[in-house]
Amino acid sequence: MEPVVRYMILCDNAVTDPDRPNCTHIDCMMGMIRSMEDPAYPVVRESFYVFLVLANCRGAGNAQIKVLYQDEEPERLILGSLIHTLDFSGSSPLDLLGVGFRIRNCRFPFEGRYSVQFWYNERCVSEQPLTLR
Amino acid sequence: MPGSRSENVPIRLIATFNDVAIPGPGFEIPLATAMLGNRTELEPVRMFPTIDVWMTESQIDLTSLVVQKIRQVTSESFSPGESLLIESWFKNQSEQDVAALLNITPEAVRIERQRLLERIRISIEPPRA
Repeated sequence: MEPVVRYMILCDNAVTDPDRPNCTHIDCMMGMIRSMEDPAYPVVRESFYVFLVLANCRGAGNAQIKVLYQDEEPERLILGSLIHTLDFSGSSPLDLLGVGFRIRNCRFPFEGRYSVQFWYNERCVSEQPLTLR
Repeated sequence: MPGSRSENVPIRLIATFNDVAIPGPGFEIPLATAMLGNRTELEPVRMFPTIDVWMTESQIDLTSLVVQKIRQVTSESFSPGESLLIESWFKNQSEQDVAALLNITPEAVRIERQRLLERIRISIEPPRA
């Protein structure tokens, strides 16, 4: 059984407020990136952060972020994170659990539409669009 | 008056992974990665105005929705004074308070509110298939 993705947010960072530990703050939400280079592509984004809030978490499984280019058929895998084990033992399925993936040195070869995907046990569980201009 | 104390149950961060991107097949990063430009900027998320809804004990979500729609209608179709009368109704302000604010009688407030609310027609339709 795979977790339910309550939120999947692309951003610069997600941090717990040191003064209000009940609050998680999203730092700079991300949906569209513009290259400032000339020529514009390929371009390297130094990093981006995928913040996931998961529910219905049971047991353990393998998680990964993949980024696919969608302006071609078939879609092409551009980059991904390492595969990481998520161990939910000790948590209730009713808990909301945060997981963050920071991915550095991301080379985007083209402008256009990308899909940032969360994979769990070799299945795409959730995705968010990301546009490069 | 019901209690108003609540707290946010924290989202427990169980893991943060920090990876160098693994390129897909055919997109391996060349040795000259450092030569590639890395200047990018984020396009801002454009924010629309926030719609505030004052919740009271008797309201349910449908009521909130109706109030929200009435606000849109009143801002477009009523004078500022008329909008204020309806807005004070949403806020559960008493006829006496509003009368004092507008320097009219509470009876006039009641009659004017009634007249204005009768001018508003709302139909609720099921979503289109």
